[in-house]
Amino acid sequence: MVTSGAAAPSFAFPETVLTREVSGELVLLDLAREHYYGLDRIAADIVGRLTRLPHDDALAELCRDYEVAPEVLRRDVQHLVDELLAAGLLRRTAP
Amino acid sequence: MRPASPELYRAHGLTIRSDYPLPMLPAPGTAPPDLVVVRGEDRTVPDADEAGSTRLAETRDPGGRVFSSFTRTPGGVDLRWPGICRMRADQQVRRVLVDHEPGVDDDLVAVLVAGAVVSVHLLLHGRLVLHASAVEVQGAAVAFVGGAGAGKSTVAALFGRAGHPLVTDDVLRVDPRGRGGAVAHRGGLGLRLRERAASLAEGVRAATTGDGRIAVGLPVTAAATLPLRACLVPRPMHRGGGVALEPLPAVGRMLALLRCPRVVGWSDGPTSARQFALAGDLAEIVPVAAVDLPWGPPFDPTVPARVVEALEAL
Repeated sequence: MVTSGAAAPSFAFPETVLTREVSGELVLLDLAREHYYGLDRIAADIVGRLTRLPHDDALAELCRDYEVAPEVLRRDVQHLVDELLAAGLLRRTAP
Repeated sequence: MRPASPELYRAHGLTIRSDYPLPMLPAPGTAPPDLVVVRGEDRTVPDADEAGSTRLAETRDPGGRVFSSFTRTPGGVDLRWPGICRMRADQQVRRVLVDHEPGVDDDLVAVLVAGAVVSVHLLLHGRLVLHASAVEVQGAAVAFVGGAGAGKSTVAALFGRAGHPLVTDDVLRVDPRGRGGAVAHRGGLGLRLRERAASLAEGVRAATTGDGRIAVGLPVTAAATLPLRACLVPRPMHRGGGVALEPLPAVGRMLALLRCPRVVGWSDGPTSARQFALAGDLAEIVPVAAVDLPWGPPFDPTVPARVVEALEAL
């Protein structure tokens, strides 16, 4: 079996969710519910990193790039993730 | 009753042969049609979808009854309006056979052909369809985007009376072309106004449409396509106020284009995904703004000039 050296991201968009970046912001279409959602630049950036990187790596990057206390960042990211998971717009790829 | 001879029309970049008279410009007689609409028989429209069909779109009236149901069947595409008509088409909706509920007038079916059928054809051929009316302003198209009753046709009529030729009413085909901008296609002739905008039909009222609206004959653009200058979301101000343009942020631009689809209740994934992608392309290259408009009746005839002036800053 061939494996990639890059660590897998912790989250992914479900197959029924389409995404589109527009000028740094993110629009999501939930095909199953026929609903649209919008994320501003910061939320789009957070989600973009969470769907590219393992959770802790994403947090480390965000902490480096934003002037924010780590505990505040962790809390805000968790809040956003919880909302997106509850809305079915994000899914966990790893426990 | 079958019309004496089908006519050939040109609208939305399509050549359409129709047994029903359509409010569209005639096409050259040699053009091969993209869409053929044939009058069938008078027969009761079934209440239920055909067995084995998959849903494309469905709408219901306020009482919960099905108003329209579009499905894909093993034999093609089935467009049903219970109590009005049933249209059976091939998979690409290139040829449509229309059966009427007994007693239903051709004029009402013609409204559905010019609106819903053309829109479904465009959607299934991967074209971006906006629920919009548009007018020509300084050699470009300005679109008014919104759902039913949002004021699209009213604003277009106001512009038409101020000398801006009509590009389309209610259905707008747009082809995003990357850095080349976007192209708006000329649609049909005339506008369909609701009774509350009847004052805009004074002197130009043509007839009553099959769905009870006022058909207004105003000059139509000579161009089959125009560059799309902007998409505006009308915000009627019933208590007066000035014209104000508010550019929408990125997400707002795309949502404004998608929020009010021309074919309501569409649930076919691949088609929705295509519209989503094209709307994203358009939101990147064409300004989208909300526009506050002093509303009527009476309608202020200076509004178009003020909107055009505001557009220059967009």
